Amino acid sequence: MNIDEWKSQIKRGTLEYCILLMISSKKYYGYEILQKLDDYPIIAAKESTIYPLLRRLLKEEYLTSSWQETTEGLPPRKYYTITDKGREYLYAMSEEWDNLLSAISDLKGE
Amino acid sequence: MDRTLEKYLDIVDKHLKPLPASERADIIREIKSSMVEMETTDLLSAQEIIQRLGDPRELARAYLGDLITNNTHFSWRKAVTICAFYSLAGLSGIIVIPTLGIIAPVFSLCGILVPIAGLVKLAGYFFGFDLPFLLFQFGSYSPAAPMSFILSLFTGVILLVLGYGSWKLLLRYIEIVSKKKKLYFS
Repeated sequence: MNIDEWKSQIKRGTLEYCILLMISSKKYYGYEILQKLDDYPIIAAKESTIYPLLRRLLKEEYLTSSWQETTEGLPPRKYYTITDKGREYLYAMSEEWDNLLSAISDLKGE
Repeated sequence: MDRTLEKYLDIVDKHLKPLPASERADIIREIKSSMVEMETTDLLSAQEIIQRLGDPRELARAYLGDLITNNTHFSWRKAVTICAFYSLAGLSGIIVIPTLGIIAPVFSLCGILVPIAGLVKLAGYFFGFDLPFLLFQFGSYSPAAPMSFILSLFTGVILLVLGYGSWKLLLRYIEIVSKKKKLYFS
């Protein structure tokens, strides 16, 4: 049995959705996203996954970013906010996600 | 910042070469910012940070991932666009670049020479020589030396403006072509 392979496939397929969900409620900076994801082992990811993914979401104009100074004397952080296009995309994803969940619960015979 | 972390960033930067410099700087800045974050808030050592980030080449490659798949993807649309671009740029370039390239300096040079000739004619007139080989002629109209001088100044200015204009036009043409090229092939 190789559950890890399946888990990594789930992660790959849902990280984009998870990140957009997070950023839709408030602005996040990259490291903060990583820490938040770390709270949930099923979607915990590495820098080399998250940063390029954020970059792609920026390129596709689902997100925008801005550098902001910190108050704690740390270097500036790059904050990400969701765009209207991103919200539309997120809304469409949410719909599909609900479809998936109801399909699974049907199949389970619930 | 720790020496090993600097080195790590250098390696990442080097492997991001295919990206434009501004994008690279932005990426490095973001990684650096999270390194400091790990150092100060999570109190990780340089070694632990590097372990977390993984192989720097791998990290850079993750950023390039999209780029590589985009570029190697062959499409007829793209091929046709490239052919059209080179046909148009090549054909128009054959005419535009040499024409403007010759016109610009020659007009400018004449713009300087004509008033000088007018001045020589004028000087000759004052000293009592008539210089028949220097002559302002427009159709059958050929004025005396003082008027010739004024007209030559006027002509000189027009030529200089034309020369400058075609030089600007040439630069503009080259700029547009290279911009278009970047647009199609980026």
